[in-house]
Amino acid sequence: MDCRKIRRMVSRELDGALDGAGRADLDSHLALCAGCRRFRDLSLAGLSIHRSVKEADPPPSLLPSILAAVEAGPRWGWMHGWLRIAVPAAVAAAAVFGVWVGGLMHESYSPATAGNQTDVLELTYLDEYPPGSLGDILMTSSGGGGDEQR
Amino acid sequence: MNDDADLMRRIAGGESDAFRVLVERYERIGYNFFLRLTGVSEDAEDLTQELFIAVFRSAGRYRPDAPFKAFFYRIASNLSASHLRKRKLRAAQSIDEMVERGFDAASARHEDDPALSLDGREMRRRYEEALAGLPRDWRIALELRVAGELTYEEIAGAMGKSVSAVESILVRARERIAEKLDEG
Ligand SMILES: [Zn+2]
Repeated sequence: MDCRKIRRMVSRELDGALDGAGRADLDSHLALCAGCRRFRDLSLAGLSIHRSVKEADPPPSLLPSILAAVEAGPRWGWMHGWLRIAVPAAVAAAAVFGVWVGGLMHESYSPATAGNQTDVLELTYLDEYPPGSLGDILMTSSGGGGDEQR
Repeated sequence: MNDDADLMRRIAGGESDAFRVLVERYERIGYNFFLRLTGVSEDAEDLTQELFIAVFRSAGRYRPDAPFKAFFYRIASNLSASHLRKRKLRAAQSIDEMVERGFDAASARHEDDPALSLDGREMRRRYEEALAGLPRDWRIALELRVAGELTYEEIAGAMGKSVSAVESILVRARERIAEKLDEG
């Protein structure tokens, strides 16, 4: 059996997915092939290093911030296609128009007031496809995620 | 009943208590998954938040015949891939910089292990370096397998690949890592 197949078996062995017949083939090859033995030893060492990383505690602020984000976030999930762009665009246009009208009506309009406008425009939910949204997930899984090495 | 599928059904029905239980159950898993992949705690935090927002929003689309773990890791994998792609980690950052900056968090969790010999530490450094140099899909697959303990079928589902492609990725990732461990 060639070394490529054996390395696949070693990988399966590490993952606990090697069957009995495979085990016998693997053992007889390893007894004769120093290269595959070395690969197996190093892979076992790597696995043990990987598993030895201690889990980190998430920061205590994470849970409340997730709950708050969900609580506060408007549900844009029902929007599809052009609505994804049209609705946020309309909201932004309305905001800009409002500020303009406000500027005309209020002589005291100043750059300090414009700061509030920036906050509105920085709303995360105005992203075309917020990361992790269904749109983003569907887009990524249908087109992206390619393996650049193949 | 409080299993994952039941929680998801209740979340879809608008029960915020169920969402809290789900977050408490999976927050640590999600955070550590992202921390391992990005090496940056702030990024891991942001991604975990995005992950749960996505879980919440798509609760109505979840079908209980598929395990929640696969659903959860599918979103997590997509977020990771998109994040790593955006940061163009492999292209924009040298591996040295990445190890220094990105893997501080992971490495720090080894440092307090007095049992580890100098050779052990060197091996670990090389391992982290090799991991950082892998293509993002390979790293995600390896992380899903080793830390997430997903089966090949579950990884294939999470990454939108065939089982055979997943197996090939894992073999190649391990070959690449073994080469790096063998160097020097
Ligand atoms: Zn061989």
